[in-house]
Amino acid sequence: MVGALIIVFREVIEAGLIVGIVLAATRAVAGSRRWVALGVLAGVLGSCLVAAFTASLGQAFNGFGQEIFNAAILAIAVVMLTWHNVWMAQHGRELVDELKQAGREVLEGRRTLLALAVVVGAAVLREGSEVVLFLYGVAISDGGSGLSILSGGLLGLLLGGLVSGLTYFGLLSIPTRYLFSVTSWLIALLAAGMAAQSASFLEQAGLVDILSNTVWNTSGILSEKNIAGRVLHTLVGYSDQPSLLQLIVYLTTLAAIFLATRMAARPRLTNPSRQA
Amino acid sequence: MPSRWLPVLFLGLCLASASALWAEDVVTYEITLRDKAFSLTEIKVPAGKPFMIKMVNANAAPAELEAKELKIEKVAAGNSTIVVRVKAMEPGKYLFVDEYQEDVAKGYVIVE
Repeated sequence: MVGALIIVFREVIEAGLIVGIVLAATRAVAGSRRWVALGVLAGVLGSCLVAAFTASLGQAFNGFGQEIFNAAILAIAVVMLTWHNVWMAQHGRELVDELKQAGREVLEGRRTLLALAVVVGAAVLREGSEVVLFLYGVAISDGGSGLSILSGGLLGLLLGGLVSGLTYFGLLSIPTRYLFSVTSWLIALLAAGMAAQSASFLEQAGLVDILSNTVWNTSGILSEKNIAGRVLHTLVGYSDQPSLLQLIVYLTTLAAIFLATRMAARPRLTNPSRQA
Repeated sequence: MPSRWLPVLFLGLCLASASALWAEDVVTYEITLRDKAFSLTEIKVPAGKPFMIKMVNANAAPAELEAKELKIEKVAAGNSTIVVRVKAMEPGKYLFVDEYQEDVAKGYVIVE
């Protein structure tokens, strides 16, 4: 039971953290919880679909369909996170200050919520399909221990939800005036980590064969496999054996988001009365 | 915002270069997962050369072939076959497992 709990928890921890961060980052936007819930629901349904089609997905692209699928999902999430950060740089302060929102803004607010719902859905989908497969496997090869493993798995899922809650309330304990910049940084780091992981999947698929040498190996100090490693992997994109390509993609994404956010925030300073 | 399209562009470039890379000649090592064990508990591989591992999952239950240091993490549906690609490795002993039963189903890739 403990084994199953650990396997499932390890898979859902990433999604749990992301849901918590997204909830905190969009707290000021009306209707955000509903969108996050929709994202989770879509992710769960998607997980079942992906699990059902694992075999055909695996055979696509000369047997590297899974890797390409993962790389694409992550790339989409990176785009959405970047977009959200840029949008928040333009409008976030107004939302935080609870200024009156123009109709257009509410509409765009919905769009950025949609973007983040996609991110949540993607996170749940990626890890969720593995959980579904694992639990399905247990269910069909029941050796008497099936029920115990299943309950271990469900406990693991519950713990994942607990991670979301802890992340959310942890972030909310930050004073409101700092919360915005903290979540922006978290989202930028999250996106950079996902971009690096996307690159890693492309390497695994054999689509990219450059800069593949390992930059460092810290698996002895902090393995990506244990819980602490997983958390850091999600939050800041920690990798115990990154390739040079992963490192470059990571830094480039971080710099690109930083620049895009700065550029998006600038016009407001020169024309602060635009929304009045 | 042009930066927003960077990942898309990146992905496109990679897909474009795909066929060329797939054409290269790489040795494939085959293993079978049956019940709680792999058919080979040791795969000997020459150092400094990329290689592939083909895993036949002979069980009805899904499996996940995982070797962290070899950057392998791939699920296999019940009664299906997967292929993973590993870059050129330094000499060493690298653990691989079926993550769904990692205490029992394991083996090593020995690079020498």
